Amino acid sequence: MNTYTRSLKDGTETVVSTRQRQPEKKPWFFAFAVKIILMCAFIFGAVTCRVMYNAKIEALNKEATKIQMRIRKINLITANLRNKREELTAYPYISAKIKQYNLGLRAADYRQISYLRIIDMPEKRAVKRHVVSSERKYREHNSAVASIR
Amino acid sequence: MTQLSYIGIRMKAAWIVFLLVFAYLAYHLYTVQILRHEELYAKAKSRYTTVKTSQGHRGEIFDYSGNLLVGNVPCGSIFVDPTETGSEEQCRKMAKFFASELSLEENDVYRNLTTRTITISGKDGTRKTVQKRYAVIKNTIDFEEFERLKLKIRKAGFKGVYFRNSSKRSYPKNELLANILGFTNLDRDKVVAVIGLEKFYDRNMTSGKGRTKFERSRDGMPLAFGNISREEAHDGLNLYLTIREPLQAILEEELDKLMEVNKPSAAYAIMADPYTGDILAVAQRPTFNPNDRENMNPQAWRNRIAEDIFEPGSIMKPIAVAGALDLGVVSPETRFDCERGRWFYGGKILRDSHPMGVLTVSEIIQHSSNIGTAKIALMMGERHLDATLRAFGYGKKTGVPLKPETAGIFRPLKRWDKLSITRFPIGQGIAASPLQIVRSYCMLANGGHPVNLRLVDRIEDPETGKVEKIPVTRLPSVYRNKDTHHEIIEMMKSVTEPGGTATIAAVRGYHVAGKTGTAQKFINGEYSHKKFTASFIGFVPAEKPRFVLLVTADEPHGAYYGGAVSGPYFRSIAERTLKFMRTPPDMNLAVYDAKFKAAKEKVMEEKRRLWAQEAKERAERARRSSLRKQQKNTTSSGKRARTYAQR
Repeated sequence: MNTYTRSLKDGTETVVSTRQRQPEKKPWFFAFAVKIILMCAFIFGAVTCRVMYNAKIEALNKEATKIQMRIRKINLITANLRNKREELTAYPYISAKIKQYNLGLRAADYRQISYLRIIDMPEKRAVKRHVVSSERKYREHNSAVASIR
Repeated sequence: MTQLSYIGIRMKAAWIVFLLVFAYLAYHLYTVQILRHEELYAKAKSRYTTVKTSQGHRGEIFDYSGNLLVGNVPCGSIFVDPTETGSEEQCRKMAKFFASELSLEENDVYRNLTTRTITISGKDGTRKTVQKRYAVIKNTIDFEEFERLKLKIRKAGFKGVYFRNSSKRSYPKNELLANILGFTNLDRDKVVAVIGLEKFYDRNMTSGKGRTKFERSRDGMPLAFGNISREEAHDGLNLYLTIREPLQAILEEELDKLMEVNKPSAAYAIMADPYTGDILAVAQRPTFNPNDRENMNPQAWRNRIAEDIFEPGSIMKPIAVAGALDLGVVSPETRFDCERGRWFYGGKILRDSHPMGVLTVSEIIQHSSNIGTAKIALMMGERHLDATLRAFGYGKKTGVPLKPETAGIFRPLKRWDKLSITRFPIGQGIAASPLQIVRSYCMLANGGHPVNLRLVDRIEDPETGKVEKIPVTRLPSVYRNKDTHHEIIEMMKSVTEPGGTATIAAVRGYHVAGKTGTAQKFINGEYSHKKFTASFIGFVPAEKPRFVLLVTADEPHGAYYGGAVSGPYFRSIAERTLKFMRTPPDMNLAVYDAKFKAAKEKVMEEKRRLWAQEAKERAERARRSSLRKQQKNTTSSGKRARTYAQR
């Protein structure tokens, strides 16, 4: 940098080029390092994200496989139970049990209808109606008596 | 300086070594990356790529309402890798465990666990010893047992033990419909269908194998971003039969009773819907339990209803008579002389089971006269009789999905002899399968419309839910005369009414149209007088039938008439079935009883009259013969007196 001087005696002015201290400058590698660090940070971040997500995906994957296995097992249990139910509800099995335990079960019969007819006795109903009416008469009579009193 | 020069030499040497190593590495890299790339890449890939196979489920079989008849039940297999099982002591411990838990021979298991090498011979005949890495401890262990053992083995910490889930065919209803359903066997891992529907629909019911190829992590799990190629396993198609399980159970139970009481060598019963041809229930004895392979008798496997043929006997009569009525050669009132039970025709004698005089066509059916039916057939002529029987399906397969199926024996018209026309209409010289007989009766019941018997109602794809219905065929009636149907049914109704051959088959409250059949068995070129086939076939209610039912006993002991042997079981099956189907009776039960009683009394009165007439005739004959004897005696004594006098 040039230094501009002026003599106070003769008032001459001289331009002397003198080595002067340069104004303070950031070193080049610092900017470079920042860039690299930023890039690394970005890559690190991306990789970390990727690893993190991968880990999460793997964990979910494992979970899904486990659930799938559980579903498969439940399906197997269901199939087994369905088969058992079919065995137990088959007529030959039921009739064998009826025989084994000597249960008093029998197939429906036409004759049951005649049995039902016996229950529906008209006389009994008439008697009941008669009783009711006589009771009512008695009550009416009593109340009439009461009112006369 | 000296030291410096040494350093220089060493440096150079180091450089050279370094360069050489580098060159070697570069060369190796070139070899690995370029020259052996394909080979090594494939090797590496095979290390981290796994292929998993899976098997779909074989199609299942259901009845019409969706009750499971054949299914797949989960089970498991336990196998070991003998190279991983550990020390002998450990193997002994494992053998003891497996033997006690799975009821196996301890020494056999121990041998399996400790045999670590096997000698195999290559294609070129060279023998070499290789490691044995697979030995089955037990296959098809029941699911619950398998799960329990799995936990126990894991807890015990046995090494080299592996588990595999699989499934086996299960028949939850045991003997029910066993012959029709058939069964499968296992040949190593391959399912082989042996008989029945399992065999007929094997191609449809067989499942496909699935294959998943994926890149795996160290623990065997698929990598999230790895390549996955997947071929899905597909399940076999499900069959829905026309069978109704409750009716099937009724049929089987009644058939068991028949076997117990009459002790025939075989028996079968078929129930079908006459309008659609649906087989509602079908049973045969002897039968087998497909779940119990150890006690299975191969003789019981045969599908008698489709494979066996027998001479139907009197069952054929209504068909021949229907043909004659339709042609108009006879009417229900046309009378025929039944020759008092013996008729000489074509050089042979045709007999009736009971001597009968002049009968109408209706009475011929009611009393099951062979002679009367033969005479009706003669009026029809050979050509018409042949056409009638063929129209009713004799000589043709029914088309049910059972293999093999017989077409029966029914000679073509050209090969008929002189006797054929009198024997075919009474069910002799002609042989049919039970299914053919049922089909012909379906036609009698539905007004003469030919039907194809159906055993499978629909086929379902369990993956897509798509259902394919097997169509019902409805063809125009074979009758030309619209009264034929009504007339033949009226005749067949009389069979189960008092005076008929099968009053025991009558169902209280319903009109039953039916026919008995008692056929002598044709053994070693002649008709046996000891071995019979006793059948009863009919439909209820006669006017609008819900089902056609055939009950046949082959070689029954004791009674052998179709009405007496099969009739009672027809009745009990019909009664229970009508109740199940909620079919209202044709008439009030009290009215039915009164009518039945009156008809019975009328028949008894007629019988009494006939017996009295017979007794009178016998007495007259006796009186005449005694008179003749007396006359003979008097003439001979007179002769003797004259000779004495001459002497």
